[in-house]
Amino acid sequence: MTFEAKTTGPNDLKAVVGAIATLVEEATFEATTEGISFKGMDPSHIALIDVYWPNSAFASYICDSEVRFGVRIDEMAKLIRRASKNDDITITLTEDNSLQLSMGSSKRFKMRLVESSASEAPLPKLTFDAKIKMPPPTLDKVLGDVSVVTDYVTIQIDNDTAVFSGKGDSGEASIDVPQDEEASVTISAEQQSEGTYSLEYLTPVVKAVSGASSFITCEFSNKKPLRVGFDISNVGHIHFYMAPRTES
Amino acid sequence: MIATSKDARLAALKRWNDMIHNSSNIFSSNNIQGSSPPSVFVGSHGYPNVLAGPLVPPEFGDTTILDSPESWTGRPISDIIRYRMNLIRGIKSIPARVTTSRYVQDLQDLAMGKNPTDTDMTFSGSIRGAGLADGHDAPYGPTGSIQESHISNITPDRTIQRLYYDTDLGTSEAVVQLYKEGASISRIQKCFSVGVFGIERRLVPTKWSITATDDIISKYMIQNIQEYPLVDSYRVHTFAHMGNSYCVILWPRRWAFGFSEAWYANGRILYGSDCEMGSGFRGPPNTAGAYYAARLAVAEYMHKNHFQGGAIVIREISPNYSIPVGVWQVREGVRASLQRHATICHSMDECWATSCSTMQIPKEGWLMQEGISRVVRQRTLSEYW
Repeated sequence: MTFEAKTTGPNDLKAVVGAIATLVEEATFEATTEGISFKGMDPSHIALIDVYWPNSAFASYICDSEVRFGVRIDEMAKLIRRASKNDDITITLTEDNSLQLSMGSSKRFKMRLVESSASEAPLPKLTFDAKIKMPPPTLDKVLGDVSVVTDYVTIQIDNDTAVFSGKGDSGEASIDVPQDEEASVTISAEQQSEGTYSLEYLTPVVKAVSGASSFITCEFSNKKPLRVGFDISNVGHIHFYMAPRTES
Repeated sequence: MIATSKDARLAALKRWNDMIHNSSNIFSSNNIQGSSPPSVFVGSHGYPNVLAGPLVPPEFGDTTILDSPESWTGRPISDIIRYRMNLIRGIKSIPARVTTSRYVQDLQDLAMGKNPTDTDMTFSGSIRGAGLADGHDAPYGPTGSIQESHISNITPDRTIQRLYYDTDLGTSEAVVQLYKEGASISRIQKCFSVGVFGIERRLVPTKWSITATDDIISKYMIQNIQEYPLVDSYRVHTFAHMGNSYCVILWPRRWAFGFSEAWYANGRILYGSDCEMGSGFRGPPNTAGAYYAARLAVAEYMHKNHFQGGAIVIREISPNYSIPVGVWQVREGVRASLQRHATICHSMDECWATSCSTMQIPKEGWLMQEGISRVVRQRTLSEYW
């Protein structure tokens, strides 16, 4: 069994591992000849991350059979943070049941694999009536604005305008994000939709992936789970699903 | 002015302390002899030094009932006050980290003792109503500074003694093990507070040890119950004692726990609430030790019955609850609720209707509390598979 994958630069791996680390402590990756994937939920089953990273996204990729490996994701994130700005990172499964991370030409870390007990994380069955696509800093800023007054953001999309709002003990916040080609914001809605979601989950994942991502897409239907998709040039997809908060 | 449930709790506490103060002249001697139930108390004032010592009534014989919260469920509050008024607290200021002295070893022996233990305390001055009860532990009577103390006739509990001699076993592991072997929470907590367990032993103020014991044991159970199937129905359990009404709502969802308590003060209702989901609680809770005590009772019930679920505990405190008798009252109140037959409901709305029919405060009042609304309103992804 051989598994070795080399990234171009450290940023995509940093983003993927950082996003997963906001939800779980241990992560089990699955590698096949086609690429690497991960699916995992937080212990409360409120949020799920679904990552697919095709072999074409790597500078080099060797995997001769299907292999699963579990890691303590915080430790992996810490090691990856040690990479310099332009370091390519090579991930190798070694014979002594460890994961080796080689960075640039001089740095090598080894971390022990763990037996992961995480159960299957099926994707929720969803259709989406409303969608907004925007650059990451736009979303990051809007979530920051709402978080001043509350821990929950309500997203409302109607025709070509999205409103991000929140209501807390101290007051209310409401931020309009209209369709705007110059600002690269595109909005579509088959029908008016509104959903409320926990910032405790949303903000950290947006922060973790923003730097590596060119666009973020939020999709949902009225009072249904939200799917946040991050466009990362080299990664097939990072989808973050989140269950809503409803009135009763 | 009373503004929160915490203030209401403090005001009630002051009433107890005033009462003790007014009655402390009945104990006029500077010497007390009697059978400790057995009981110890460690005060947090001055930490890292602590005020530690035994609680002793001026009577000999089977005094077990004076410090057995697990058997007080459902009794009138006047009984509890009567039991506790007679317990005189001996104190000595000692460093929490030093557990090798003869004095601390005596306290450890006392905490491990199977039966009431004859104890003799001589005080350096007269005893007084010091007003140090804090609402976590059951209150106690007047306090005296110990000049000399003798503890005799101790038969240690074998299980506890085994854990005492195991100096490689961590505190949490020892606490969980003792619980699994059937020891009562109040017994485990007493041993915890006088440094009977762990690798690095130390004295832990009683109020912290109560919270820590509830927290350690319930965390162990919560970890397990998250592997269990979901409860199969909507259920409501209710119970009331000592001016406290409890409703426990259980329903099918991943483990989540919300607790809210409401006090009446000066014609107003004051609330406190807290909650957690799968990733645990980040404290400290607004509802203090009551949160951990209620959570322990719920986790214990789910663990025993091999299911997980959403759980809400609401506690309505009537003005009849004149003296805070300790968080054991919450633990035992919720345990007693869960031991009673459940009303099976068809929906969350029906659960609320059933619960609120036993209380003054309507559903809307509880649902406005963050600790309740977070748990009730947050959907899970499994609902969309």
